[in-house]
Amino acid sequence: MRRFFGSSFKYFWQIHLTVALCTAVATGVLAGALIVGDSVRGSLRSLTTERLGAIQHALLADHFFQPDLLDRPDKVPAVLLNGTIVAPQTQTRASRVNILGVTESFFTFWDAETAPHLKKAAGQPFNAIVINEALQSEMNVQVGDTLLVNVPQIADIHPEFILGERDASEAIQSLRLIVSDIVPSENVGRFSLRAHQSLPLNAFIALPVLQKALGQVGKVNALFTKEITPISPDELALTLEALGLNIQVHETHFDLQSQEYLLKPILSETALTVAARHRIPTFPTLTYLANTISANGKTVPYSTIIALPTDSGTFAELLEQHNRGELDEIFLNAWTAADLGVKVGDGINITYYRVGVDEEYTTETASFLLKGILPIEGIAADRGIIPTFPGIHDTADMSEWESPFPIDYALIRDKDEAYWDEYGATPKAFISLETGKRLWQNRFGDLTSIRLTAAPDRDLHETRTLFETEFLKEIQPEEVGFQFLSLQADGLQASAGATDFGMLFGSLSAFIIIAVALLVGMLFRIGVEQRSREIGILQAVGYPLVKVRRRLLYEGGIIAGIGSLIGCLLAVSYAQLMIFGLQTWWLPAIGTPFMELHASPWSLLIGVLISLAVVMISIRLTVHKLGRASTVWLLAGGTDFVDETTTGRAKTRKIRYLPLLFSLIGIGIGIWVGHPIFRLLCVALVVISIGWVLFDRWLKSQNVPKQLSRARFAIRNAARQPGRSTTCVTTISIACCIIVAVGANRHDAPPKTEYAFVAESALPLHHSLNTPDGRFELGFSESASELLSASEIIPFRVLPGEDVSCLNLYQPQKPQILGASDAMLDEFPWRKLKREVSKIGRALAIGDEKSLRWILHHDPNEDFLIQDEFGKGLRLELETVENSLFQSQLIISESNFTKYFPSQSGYQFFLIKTPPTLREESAQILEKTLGDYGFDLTSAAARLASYRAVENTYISTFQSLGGLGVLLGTFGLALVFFRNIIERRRELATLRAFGFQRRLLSRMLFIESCFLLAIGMFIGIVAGLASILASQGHLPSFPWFSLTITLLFIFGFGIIANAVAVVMALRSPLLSTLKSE
Amino acid sequence: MRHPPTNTSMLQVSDLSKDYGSVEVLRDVSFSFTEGVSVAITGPSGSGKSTLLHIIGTLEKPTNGQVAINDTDPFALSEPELARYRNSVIGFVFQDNHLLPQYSVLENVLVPTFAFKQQPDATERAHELLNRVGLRDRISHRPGELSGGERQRVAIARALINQPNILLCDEPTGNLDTATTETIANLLFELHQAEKNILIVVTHNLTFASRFQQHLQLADGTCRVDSDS
Repeated sequence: MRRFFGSSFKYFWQIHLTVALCTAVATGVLAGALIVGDSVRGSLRSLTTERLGAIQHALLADHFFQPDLLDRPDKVPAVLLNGTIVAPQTQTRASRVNILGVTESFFTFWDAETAPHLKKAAGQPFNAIVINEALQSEMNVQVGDTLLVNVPQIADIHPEFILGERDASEAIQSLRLIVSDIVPSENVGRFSLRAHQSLPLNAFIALPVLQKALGQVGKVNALFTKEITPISPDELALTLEALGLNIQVHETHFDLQSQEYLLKPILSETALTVAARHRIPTFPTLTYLANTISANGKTVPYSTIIALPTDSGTFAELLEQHNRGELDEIFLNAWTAADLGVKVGDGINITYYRVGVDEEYTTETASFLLKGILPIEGIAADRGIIPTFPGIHDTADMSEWESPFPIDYALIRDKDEAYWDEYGATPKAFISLETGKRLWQNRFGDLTSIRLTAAPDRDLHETRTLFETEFLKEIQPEEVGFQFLSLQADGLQASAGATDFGMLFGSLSAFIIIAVALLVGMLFRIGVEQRSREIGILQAVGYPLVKVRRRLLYEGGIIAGIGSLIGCLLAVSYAQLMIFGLQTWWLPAIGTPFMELHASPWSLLIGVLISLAVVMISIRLTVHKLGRASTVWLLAGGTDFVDETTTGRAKTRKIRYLPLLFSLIGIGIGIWVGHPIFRLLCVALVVISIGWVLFDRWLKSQNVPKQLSRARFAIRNAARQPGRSTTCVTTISIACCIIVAVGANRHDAPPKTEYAFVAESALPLHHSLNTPDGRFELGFSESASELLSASEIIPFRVLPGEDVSCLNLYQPQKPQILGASDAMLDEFPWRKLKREVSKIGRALAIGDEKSLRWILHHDPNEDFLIQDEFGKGLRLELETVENSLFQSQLIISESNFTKYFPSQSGYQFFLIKTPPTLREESAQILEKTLGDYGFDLTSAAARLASYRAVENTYISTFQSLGGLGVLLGTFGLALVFFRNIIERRRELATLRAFGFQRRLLSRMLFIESCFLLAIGMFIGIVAGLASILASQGHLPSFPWFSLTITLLFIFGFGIIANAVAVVMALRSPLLSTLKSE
Repeated sequence: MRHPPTNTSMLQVSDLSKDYGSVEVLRDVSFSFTEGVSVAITGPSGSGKSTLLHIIGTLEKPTNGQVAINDTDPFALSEPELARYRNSVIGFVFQDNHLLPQYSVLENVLVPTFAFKQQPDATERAHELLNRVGLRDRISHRPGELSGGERQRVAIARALINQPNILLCDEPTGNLDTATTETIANLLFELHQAEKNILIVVTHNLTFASRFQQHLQLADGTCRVDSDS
């Protein structure tokens, strides 16, 4: 038997070699696709380890803290900020730059790195800055050049609180620095907390320099460690200072106050709970500034009003003396009552500022009934209860106040100055705490101070110690803005990738594998058919059919095995080609050419096993058909395995209707499932099956046309081997169907959007770009402001996070969240966000369908869980949009944004509607005026196009690979055709004997092969169009041009392949085959 | 369609030799036949019967000597002229019939008419020929659905579709049983009578050969012509 094998391999080496090569192609394509997946993952892993070096964990905070908070010897402190950089010499600007305040120890995370020159060089007028090559290339600067670095100024009070600083001049801190070194954009030059394949723009500044500039000497907002053990919240030795709190100790009590003026709700609630638990009496107060207190036509300007508890404490005792009254009642101190000339029972009006929509100050009014007049003594004279107002408290005169809110200094009278001189910020009016909260509560808090007195059986000192210890124990670091990140582990997890390129290319290559399977089946069948006499003889001499089949199966197995091994080499080359494609032709799919080849033996093994299985099934099916032919038929050299003398028509009819049966099942599934993709697949299957059946019937039909012509005569030749012709036509039709159906989703036309620009700013904007006042505050000239008045600019709040669009290859874990302002919520589909969700910890969100499904791998019908600012779970109830400008983020309403992320300030994302004629000018003005904020505009159409480019690239990849499948199909067609011609040499010789010229024969054969190609393509195109129509309900704006070019290319290739097959097959002399002796 | 008859003999073979390298198959073969004659070529296997038939049919070129059909030396013609010449002057019937399995019986008969511009009455003639060979009711059948004798009858009809001057048959009954051989032989002679062409048949069957007017015996590359008359 072994000898038979050897001889058989030698004799039929051509067909065996072709089968082996086809198997090699299948293995190469499949294993290669998996290696592409390995390479994307491997490259992302490499990027992760490169950008993080030895950093394992990080402690980050939304505020500055003392590094001593964490007791780890190897901790490396840093300040991480987002900023903009301007090069005065070249007038270039870069925004969204990572500004990193570091010490030399930071560079030790990258072993090979020698620390660059961060220290100010002798004789240099300014401090040093080190930039990476990416930033250098963006800025076009060299060592020694000066750079202006803009970073957000760190303020204790939130900019959106009435006392917060929002002026551009105060909100941005600028540093002039000299470039001392340029580091490569690798290792530390690639450092970024953000998992993204694109190169970050990094600038390193000596830590003390940055700390000093920010007024945060000795403080940082990030600590890194290379220890494997994660940083635990328990390791943090929290202090009141780290929480921005202070305790003012007095003789009989102590006051808990915040540097942020308002006590954060979580802190005030915890303080009151802890105090209650230890029976420490508390006296919470809320102090606000009234613009005016008016009555009887008289007004007292700029007065402190204090809201106090009315149920217990000193103020309650006072109330008791004056008969406890209703909530909207007010007490004035004697000075104010006298100034206003009011008596108990008179009406009192106060006005005060609130920060309203678009962060504009709005003046509100509240009316009260004067309940009592208090002497300036006791609680009414206690200034200690009022936290410090920066810029106000420490001034000698009211006229010197430097407040962030507008002050009408003309209102301040001499007697007001006299009061200020004598009593300072001592409150002039008193209301109940409930009323105070109702009027002035906001997202930053509802108390300004908590006064605590000694607990029973403890003195004040003991009480304070007890309170402080217990209070700090109670605070969870995550609730107050600390984040514990396992950077390395999270990064490596994210590098699994949002898109599994292995699966993607595997799926895209599926058609090639199907084509190869059909081809191998066909080739092997041809090989077996060639040996029909040999098989007949074996059967005639007594070989059982099973043994003959087994022998052929073994042969096939050996050939396929050899092919698979060759395929492993091919796989690596194929993967390299695909990677080259991703770095060049399909670059939009990955954004940055960062990929390297990473091949896993598992991928090769899986590729080999699957392709071997597919090929062997194909061979098995072919060999199985052997049994249908009789020995006599085989001995007579019958090839088409179906013995013409024994074929039952009923059986043929049954087989013929199998595709129709499959189609009906397909339609049933399609209707049952109802999903567009299923509808598309089912309709495609049905049309191809119908095409298959009709073509098969036509091939086998016995109707003689009335009018015969040479062309019809040539076409009738396709019926000689109906099985082969049908297989070729079906292969080509499937390929063309895929190409048409996929290609129809390509968007060649430029995307349309009502918005002209999308803008992002590195630093938050706190003033409206839609009002003249806001634009004035932001520094726009009058003419620029007028020009911009023609535009509508919709601002969004931004919670920093990862890009969840297809532009990010990493698997995003913490998506960027936008807070949509009311202006946006009036439009469809955003108005959905207005709907209130009653449950706490839930909010409505809008996300892009594709981003959710394919990048976040999340079912849009299910809630998406994120964490709010306090480390608590926030469930986002999702609504979806498609092909929007918001493929990179999730969007919630601004009210929910400020509720769950109160410390995020300002607006950093903008949609801009501008009349077409003003677009260029408006863009220039915005970028120039808001340059210090790092305001970057992108054309909205270009942004959409960048998303589409990825989609189109995937489609191109699919089409390219589908095209490769078609090429294999047409190659198979040519090969089969070649084989047919060889088999038909006697027939052709007969035609020659009857006077057919060689040229005419060639033409007839060529027409025959083109006919098969054309029929296959026609069925495929019809199936493709029908499936799109079924899935989308209409034919989309079709990319006719690219699709026609692709199909013409396929047709052209098929024609050339067929022509070559015809020429080669007719090269040898035909007539000698007619001899009977 | 048929070439006009002349006064001279229609087929003249003079000093014909054919060798394949060192193997000499035919040596100085000469004969001439006129219109309406039927000729049987016999001889042992390897004597060059089919080679001679193929040379007469212009499928092969002789090494030496001349073949003239209606005073025309076909081997002096260009390839397209030769093809046209073969299409109109010669008809072939092969032992294996060489019917094209993908075509129906009618289409098979019409095959030679497609080599050049088809005559308007070609289909009519094909029907007529099929009628004459007794296959009128089988015109839409495929060769695979016919018996061996029926297939050979289709081959004969095909050979006659262009009314050739010479009908060459290479062992037309070689694969048939005795009864069918008789039927085919009768058919061939019947059609020969009607068509008035030169009928040349290569055969091993001496009974069949005895029915021909002339008998050309090949042995050791040479030939001897015996006349019946």
